[in-house]
Amino acid sequence: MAGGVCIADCQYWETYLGMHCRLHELRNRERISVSAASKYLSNLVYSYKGMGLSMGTMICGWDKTGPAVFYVDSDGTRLKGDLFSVGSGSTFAYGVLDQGYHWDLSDEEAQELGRRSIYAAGHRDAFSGNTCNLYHVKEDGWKFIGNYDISKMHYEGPGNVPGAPGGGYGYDLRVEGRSSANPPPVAATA
Amino acid sequence: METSFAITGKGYLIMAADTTAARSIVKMKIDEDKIKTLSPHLLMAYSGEPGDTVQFAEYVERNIRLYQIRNLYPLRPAAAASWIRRALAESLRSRKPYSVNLLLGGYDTATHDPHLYWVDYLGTMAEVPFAAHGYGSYFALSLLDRYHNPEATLEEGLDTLRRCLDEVAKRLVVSPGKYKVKIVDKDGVREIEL
Amino acid sequence: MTQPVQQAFNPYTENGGTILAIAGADFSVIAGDTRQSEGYSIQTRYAPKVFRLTDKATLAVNGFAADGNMFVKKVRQRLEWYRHAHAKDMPIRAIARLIQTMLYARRFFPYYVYNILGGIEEDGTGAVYSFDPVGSYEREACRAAGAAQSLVQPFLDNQIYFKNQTPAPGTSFPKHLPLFTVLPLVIDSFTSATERHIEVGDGLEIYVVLAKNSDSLQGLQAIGGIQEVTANTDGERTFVIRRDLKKD
Repeated sequence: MAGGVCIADCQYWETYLGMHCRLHELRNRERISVSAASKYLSNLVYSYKGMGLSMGTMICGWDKTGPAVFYVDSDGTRLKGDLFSVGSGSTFAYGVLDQGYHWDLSDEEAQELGRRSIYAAGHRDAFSGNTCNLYHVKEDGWKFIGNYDISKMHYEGPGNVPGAPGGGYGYDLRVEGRSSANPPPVAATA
Repeated sequence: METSFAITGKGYLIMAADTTAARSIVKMKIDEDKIKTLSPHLLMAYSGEPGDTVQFAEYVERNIRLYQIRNLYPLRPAAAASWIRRALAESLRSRKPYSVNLLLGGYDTATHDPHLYWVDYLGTMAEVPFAAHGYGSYFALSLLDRYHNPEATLEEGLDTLRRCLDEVAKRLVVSPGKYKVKIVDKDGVREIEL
Repeated sequence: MTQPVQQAFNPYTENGGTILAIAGADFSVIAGDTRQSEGYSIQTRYAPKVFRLTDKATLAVNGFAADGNMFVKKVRQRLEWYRHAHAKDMPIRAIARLIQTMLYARRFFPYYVYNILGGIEEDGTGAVYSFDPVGSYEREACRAAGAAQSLVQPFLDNQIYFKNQTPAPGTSFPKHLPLFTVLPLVIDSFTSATERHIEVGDGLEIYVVLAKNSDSLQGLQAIGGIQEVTANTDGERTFVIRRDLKKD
C-alpha cells in the first residue's frame, strides 16, 4: 500500500487497516480479500468526508480471485483496476507507466517499469523523490525488492538488478552522442 | 466531464453513461460502469460527487433488493422513483447530503411501457421521454427535441443515441471517451456495444 | 447599513525556541534552548523544552508551549499507568507509537507542537523519533525542529549524514559518530542559531542518554557542568548539561 499528501492520515489509517486485516484473519481463519480490505478503508474515510482528511492509497494484493489493485482516496472513491498511480507526482509516473505497460510483463519487466516510473516522478516533481521502495506481490505474498536512490538512478542506474538496462536513467545519458543537427551535404571539393 | 443520457422508445428504454472516473486532471479509470441494475426491469445511471455516487447507489440497490425479498415482487418504476427521490430529499435536509444526480429508467411489466425519470441531487424529479445529465445535456436535449420519436424502433432509438454521442464528441471540449449502453425492455436488462 | 463582522478566536500561538536530537551507536543526545517568547517579547529565559520520560527515553517538545506542557503531562501520565500495569518502563518504540495515537486523537484540534523523542532502543542502540503535530513519525539518526530548524537541519545533514561531501579515495564516512564529536556539534548548532535567530538563546539544556555499559562516558568527562540525573549506574544512564547562551 502506498500513501500520499497528508502523511499522518495515511500512516495512521494504514496502520489501523493493517490491524483490522489481522483481526479478520484471527476471527475468520482466513485472510481478508483485497476487495474487502479496500472497502473497509473506503467506508472508513467516507465516514470522515468533508472533515479534511487527505489520502490517496492503493491496496494491492492476491486473494482467491487472483491479483487485485484498488484505488481508494479520501473523498470516498474506490476503484478496481490493473494500473494506478497516486500522489503529486502521479502524472509523471503515468507518463512512463502507461507507455511501458502491457498485460504480459515478466516479473523483472514489471519491477523495472515500476522503478522507472517512480524515478520519473521523483525527477520531475519537487514533492516526490529521495528514494523509491519497490515491492512485488505474487500468489505467495509480498516481497520487498529494494530501496533505490533517485539521484543514483539518474546518474548510475538502479545497480545490478534484473530488468534494468544498465546505466543511468537520466535524459542526458540516454541521448549521449546523438544530435539533431541536420546540415546540408557538403559539396565534394576537388 | 461526466455525462449520461436516456431515451424511451416503443417498448424499450436505452440508457448510456460515460465510463471515465477522473480525479482533478487525471483519468483514473476508463471502463467504470456507472449504470446500476436495481431490479430485473430497472436501471439507474448516477453521477456527481466522488464517493457519494457509489455509496448512494449501493444504498438504493440494497433497499430495492430488500423490498423484493420481503414482498416477493419488485417495485414498479414509478414507486421506485418516488422512494429514491424521497431518499435524496431527506438527505438534502441532513447534515451531510448526497450530491448525486440520477437517471432512472424502467420497464413496467404491468402496463408494458417504459418510464424514465430525471432526478437531481436537490430531489427534483420529472418524468420525461428522454433525459440527460452533465455537460452533454446542453447539446443532447435540443437534439432530442428535434429527433426523438416515442414510436421509434430499437434500431432507430439507437441511431438517435448515436447522434447524441457524436454531437457531444464533436462539440464538447472535454468530451468523454467511451460509453456504456444498456437497454431495458420486456425481456429485462441487457448491455450492448454501440 | 453596517457590514457583517466575522469574529474568530484563535486558540494557538508560537513560542519560538529550537530543539534537536542525534542518535549514536549506543547513546542519544536530546537538546533544546530555554527561551520562551511571543512575537518580539521574551516571556521567560528559562522554560525547559526537554523532558525526561523514563530511564531510557527523553522527549523534546517545541511550538505552542501551553500545548507542549500539557502534552508532556499526558504522556507522563500514560507512562505511569503503564508502569502500574506492567511493572516496567515502556520501551521507546512503544512510546513512539503511543505518541502517534495521542497526537492523532486530536487530528481535528491538534496539539500545535513538534515532538522529538530520543533514547535507547530495547536492543541497546541509540534512537531518535521525530513527529509532526498530528502524529506522523519516523525513526531517524538526527533531527532539528522549531524556529531555527531551517538553520540547524542543513548543518546536521552536512555534519552527521555527510550530505554534499565526498569521502577521500579509499575511505568511507562513519554510520554513527562518537559522543565526543556529537556534543560539540550540538553546542555549535545552538550558538549559531542564537546568533542568527531572535527566538533562540538564553540557555541550553542537553540531555545525554547512555545505553547500559556504554563506554561513551569517556566523552563526557571533558564537558564542564555535567550532572547525572539517574540514581543507579547499572542500567541506562541519563546526564544533563546546562550551558548559557547569549541573552540578546
